[in-house]
Amino acid sequence: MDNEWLTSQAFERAHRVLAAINTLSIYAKLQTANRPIRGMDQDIDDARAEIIEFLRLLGEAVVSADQDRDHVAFGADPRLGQLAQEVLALQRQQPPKSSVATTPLEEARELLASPDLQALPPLINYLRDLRALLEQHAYADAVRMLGEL
Amino acid sequence: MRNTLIARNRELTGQLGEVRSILELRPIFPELSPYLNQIHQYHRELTAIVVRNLQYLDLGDGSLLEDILSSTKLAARLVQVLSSTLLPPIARADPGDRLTLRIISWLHEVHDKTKNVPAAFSDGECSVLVWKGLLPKGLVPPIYHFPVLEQRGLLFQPLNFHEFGHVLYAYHKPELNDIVRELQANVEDFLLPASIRNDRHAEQQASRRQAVVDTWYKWAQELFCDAVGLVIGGPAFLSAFSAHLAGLDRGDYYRDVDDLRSSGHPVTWIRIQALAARASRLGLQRQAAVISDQWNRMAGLMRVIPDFHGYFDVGLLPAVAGALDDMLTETGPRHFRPEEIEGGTTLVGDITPIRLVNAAWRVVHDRPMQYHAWEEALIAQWLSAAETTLKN
Repeated sequence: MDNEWLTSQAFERAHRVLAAINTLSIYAKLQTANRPIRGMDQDIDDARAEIIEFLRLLGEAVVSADQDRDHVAFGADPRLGQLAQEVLALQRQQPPKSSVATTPLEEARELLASPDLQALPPLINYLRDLRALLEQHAYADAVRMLGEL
Repeated sequence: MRNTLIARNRELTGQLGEVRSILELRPIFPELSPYLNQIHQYHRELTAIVVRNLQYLDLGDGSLLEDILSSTKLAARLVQVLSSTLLPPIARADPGDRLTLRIISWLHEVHDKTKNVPAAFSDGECSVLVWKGLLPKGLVPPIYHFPVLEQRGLLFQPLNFHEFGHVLYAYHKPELNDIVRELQANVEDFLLPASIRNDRHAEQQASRRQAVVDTWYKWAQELFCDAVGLVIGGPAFLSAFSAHLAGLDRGDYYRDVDDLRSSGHPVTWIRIQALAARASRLGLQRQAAVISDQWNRMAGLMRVIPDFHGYFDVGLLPAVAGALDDMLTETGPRHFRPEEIEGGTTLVGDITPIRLVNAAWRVVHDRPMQYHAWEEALIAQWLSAAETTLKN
């Protein structure tokens, strides 16, 4: 039996982070093309903060799962634990197919916080891969939440 | 692709226009106004996202299409959430909702973290959708679901106290997750000793460990919510909980292993045992004994043998109770007052919902034939007093 509280929170978490990724990705691409968007500074700062906090939580779950012999994540809700296991699976892929697997968390945080224009292309790439991972993962929550025809 | 996205965002604009009509035309009673204001804000924010999508599409920059596609999918889902979940408390609103809304509002008001969270509920089996902000700005209140018959009376209102526990958990999530992490480790040590874990069926064991750990994340929260309900509601919560779950099905006492593996709630018999033990510690020994006896007799009648397939053992109860104590200390739910659970059934002065629901269970027990007339008069009196307070 599903717990509505669990589904709604997983749905919320994924949607907030995906919205933040989209905001930041568009900003980074327009900056790169020298077409900056005006009046969005607060939204962009909020988006950075949202992704950094999410990566902190996900990072904790990944560490917890990685330390355990069976990759069991303690203290995280089951959906976040499953996402941590998906990240570990990406990291085991050879050759690596996602920058989420090859970019250490600390480096991802630096990319997110960097004002440097040179950081934008790898940031755009990282956000694209993070979004792909999250969209795939969040689909199940959306179906549980909204149903299927 | 660009044209498809333009068309989809225009459709969403049309749907959001219809939503605005519903929000503006619907007559609302005062208890629902804070929620309505919040949904107006959600609607404005969602509209701004769709407008921005169209502005970005106007730029004609192909590299943005993947981002706008994702943003359009999100907006479409959030419109669906609006339609299926956030609008029903407004669209189906009825003056009969005032009782449940007042009680949920009171629950939120008397707790620091939720005092500014508006109340809203919709029809359905007891549950709650908990979120704090589906969009970057603004709060989206939790939506309680409560069955239609129970909405109209006092007796089962305490079940909302359990659902409120989920809201408290969400507002204290980091601290409570730390406590649950420790509990999961204790449970795993107790239920899956090392000798079993080190056998040659490593993959199966890993899968089993994950299942137990995940199950206990959900069970710990449900048991916490039961404890919150009891602390807030006292004897009325015990009575409502036991009567609602009834204990007439074998599934209330025993479930097979596949069922346990995907279960969202502990077997009801476990919940009753944990609740009865806590009720005794809160000074409700008599009520705890009545409920334990009733459930044990029913188990005896059905000849149920306790077997939880390695997901639970009574030896775990002290560790579970200790974790729940810590979770209650972190969250501080309002404790029922002695005067709210004792005394007569003629209520005057400032009547809290706790006094109300405890009086209701006393009357239905002592004078069942007079209960409905008593309840009707009391609800009218209480809502009228609440209306005066709201106006002032």
